[in-house]
Amino acid sequence: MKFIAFITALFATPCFAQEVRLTGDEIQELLPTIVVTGNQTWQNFDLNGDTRYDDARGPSHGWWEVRGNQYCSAWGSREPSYWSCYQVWRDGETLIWSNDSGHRTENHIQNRQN
Amino acid sequence: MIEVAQGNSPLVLGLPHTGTDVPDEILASFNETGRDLADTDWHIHTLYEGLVPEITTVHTPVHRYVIDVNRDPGGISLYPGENTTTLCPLTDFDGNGIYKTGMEPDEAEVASRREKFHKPYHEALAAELDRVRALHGFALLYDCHSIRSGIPFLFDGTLPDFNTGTNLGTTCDASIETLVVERCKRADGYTSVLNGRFKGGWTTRHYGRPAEGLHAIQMELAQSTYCLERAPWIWDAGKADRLRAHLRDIVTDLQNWKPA
Repeated sequence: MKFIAFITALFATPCFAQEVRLTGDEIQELLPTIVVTGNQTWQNFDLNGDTRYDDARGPSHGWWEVRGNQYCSAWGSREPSYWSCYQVWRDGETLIWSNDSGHRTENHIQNRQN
Repeated sequence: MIEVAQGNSPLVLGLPHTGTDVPDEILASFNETGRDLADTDWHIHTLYEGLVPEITTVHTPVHRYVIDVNRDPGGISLYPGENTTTLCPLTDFDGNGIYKTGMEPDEAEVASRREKFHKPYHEALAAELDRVRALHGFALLYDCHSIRSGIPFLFDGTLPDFNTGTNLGTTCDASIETLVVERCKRADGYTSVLNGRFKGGWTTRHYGRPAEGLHAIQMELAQSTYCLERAPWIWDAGKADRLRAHLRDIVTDLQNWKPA
């Protein structure tokens, strides 16, 4: 199914001209100042490492941290096996999360109102 | 062709519907609906990837439109009297034809696909179940599935998030069913049902023989829990990570399960 494979690869690879990969320091600095929104989803990131995610199922509370140049989060437990890590890319007001499996999720950036 | 990753725990994950490979000659017989491959269990292998160590996985890369390895090879309907798809489906989940007119597979073609794709998958799955049963005295098959949460042709309303199937309690020890059901109930914000619209496919029913130390349970997830439910079926990292925490709990419980 070459066509589907091509389309999947296209969406999975952050290779568009305007996309810039964020460093660990840039991720650490940016996330506490923004809210990211997606397909009826909403997430913020506290300086103390807490994160809250909301969708139609209600709120979930997790943890986030920067490891090297990746964003990592855990939900339900902070045990090592619960953490997932992503490269973070930015294209204007779009934040892109990309994992080792090649999956890519785009969120819209809004300023966080504290 | 069949992809097997061996672990030494008693738990085996079946991944029958996550493949998107379609041989060229079969693809040429599909119409536009068929080529969309909309009924794929999108990203399921990624969803369960790396949750806990020592799990065996058995995965066919071949798409379910070619042949559905979760259907009776003899062609017997999984849900008599209800809309469902068949061994070599002629329609998608919405009831729309997937073949160009006159290019549907005949009996000989169905037999050929059964030999090429259905049989090898089940030979591999049976071998892995036998292998881990020899190590532990029992084996536990967890069959991994997902589907769009709204498909009027198949069911009314919105599907619960977790749909556990044990064919009305016959395919596994009752304590296994209880472990999974309780985990699903405790997943805050998620809905769940036991033996609702999806009671376990042919795989679960075929291998689920608790008296022989073979236990099987099916999990049908609503795709709204982790991805966009329309093309291009984009993975939603936030949703998927939350879901994976619950799946990890379920799979860990199952891996630690032992017969009384």
